[in-house]
Amino acid sequence: MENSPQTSKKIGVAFTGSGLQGLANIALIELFEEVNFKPDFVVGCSGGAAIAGLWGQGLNAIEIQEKISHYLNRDIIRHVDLYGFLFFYKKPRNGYKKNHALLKANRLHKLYNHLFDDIKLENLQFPTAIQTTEVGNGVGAVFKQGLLKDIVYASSAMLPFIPPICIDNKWYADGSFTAPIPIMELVNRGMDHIISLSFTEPSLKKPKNFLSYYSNFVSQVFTKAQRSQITFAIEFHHGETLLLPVKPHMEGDIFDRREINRIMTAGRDTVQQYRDEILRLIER
Amino acid sequence: MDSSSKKYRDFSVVVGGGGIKAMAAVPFFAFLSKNGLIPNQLFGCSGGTFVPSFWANGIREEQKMIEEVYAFQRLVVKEKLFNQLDYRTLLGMANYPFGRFSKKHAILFPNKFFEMCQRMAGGKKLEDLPIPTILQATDLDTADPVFLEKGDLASAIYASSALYPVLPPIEIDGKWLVDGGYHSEIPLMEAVRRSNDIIIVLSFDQVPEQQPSNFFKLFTGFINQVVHYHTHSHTSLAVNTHQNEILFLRHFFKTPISIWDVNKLPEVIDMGYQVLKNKEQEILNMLLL
Repeated sequence: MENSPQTSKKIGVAFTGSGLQGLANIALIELFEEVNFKPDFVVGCSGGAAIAGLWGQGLNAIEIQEKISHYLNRDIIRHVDLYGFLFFYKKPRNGYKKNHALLKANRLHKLYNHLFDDIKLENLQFPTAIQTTEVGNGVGAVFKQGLLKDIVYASSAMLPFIPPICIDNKWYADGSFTAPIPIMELVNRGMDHIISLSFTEPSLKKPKNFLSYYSNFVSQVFTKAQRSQITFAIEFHHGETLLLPVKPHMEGDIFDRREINRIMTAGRDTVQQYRDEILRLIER
Repeated sequence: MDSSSKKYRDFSVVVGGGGIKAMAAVPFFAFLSKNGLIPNQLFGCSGGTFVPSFWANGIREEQKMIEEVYAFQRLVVKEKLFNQLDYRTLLGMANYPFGRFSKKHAILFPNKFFEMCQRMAGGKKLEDLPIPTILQATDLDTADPVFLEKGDLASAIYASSALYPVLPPIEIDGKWLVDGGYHSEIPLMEAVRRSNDIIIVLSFDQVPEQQPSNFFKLFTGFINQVVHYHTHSHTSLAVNTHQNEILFLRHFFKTPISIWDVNKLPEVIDMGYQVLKNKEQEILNMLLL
């Protein structure tokens, strides 16, 4: 089923989801491997950016899950950044340093260092872009080249908890703030058909942790805010856009490794449910 | 008002968010008072709830409105409204001992800010206001917009401007509500849905702050820019949908003004006069029969 660029339609895939939610995308990769399908373009956002990066390195579905599970530590973002607290409302003598937020991110940097080493985005096996948000102007910014570890970090830096990162003299934070489902990039890239998971996590009636509660809110609020963007994207787009709803029903936070099975199951359930539609789209 | 004596067309006013910058609406509302123009409905969001609320509440003379704005400034400076960190919640974010997490708490304590909303509301309910006034908030659990048109005015003003996670949400009718700007900082679509009036929109934006002096300014500046970005496509859809005229009064600040930087109020009010000066005649031509 491998695409022949001369005859087949171009198919783009968006990998989405905050934190570990991104693992649900592995279910799509499993199906793509089963039918030997390779996309023409991949775009990743937030937790989905890490999956895009690992798949683009040539890892298969099992290897991606194993690698993330191996390096993921429950305490990955459990350390308060006193600088962020101290200068929340006070002005530091030498100006505020933007690489600080409420929590420390050194372990998250370490995780992405393990996962991506010095691999560059432009060297992945599929043309890949990653969605972030520029902190200075609040506008979406899409990376097509650069160090994968820094760009994937930027795409998942959930302000005000996780600090932004400086790349080429500009500061970047989580892509979910501007395009949790970055399908406009695939439209701009001339993809005929688009496939993406769409996380429709219901409200957390008994939230246990500030970070998961806030990231759930941000994900919902900006997915809804993006509706009119998606309307425009679909209007510009002449092919089919397949948005597949996933409901992981997470109880822990977005970096809690105990949620991995729940997320993977939710992803597989969705892909199984829409299997025929996905295959119909990619078989063209 | 006796409708037979009305000499202008039906219109509604939408005041967008923008923190303290939305106080630039004062000259526009003073202009409405001076010309005897009363909108059918008022819509407000976030910082854009303040001026419409006290105008609808009967404070309509220019000087009185300005006095009210400066009373607000004194209150913010004296009470340090945004300076009260909730340390237990901050510790709870990292699951530290003595930390806590609950929906009722956020990074700052809301008490002083809520008192300020109460002062502005003067004990009124939304349904008591002589002009139907609709304030936009966001449901924290579902991220859906919520339009408040009855109930305690102070709570509605607070809900519409509670920038989570800096300020905690407020529970109204079983829903936990936060800043309406998260849905769209200009509640134009709701105005379009409710009537076919002419709509006058007051919007407030600025050049981005490149060197924020603390984390509060970095984060609130970022969120403001993000919601502004999303508002573009909302606004385009609303304009496409509406069957009547929409006039935009854009207040664009060439120097950044932090969300609650009350020291910039003179500059903010002055911007309101500058924008109005160029649009007065256009508004009158559009509205007068």
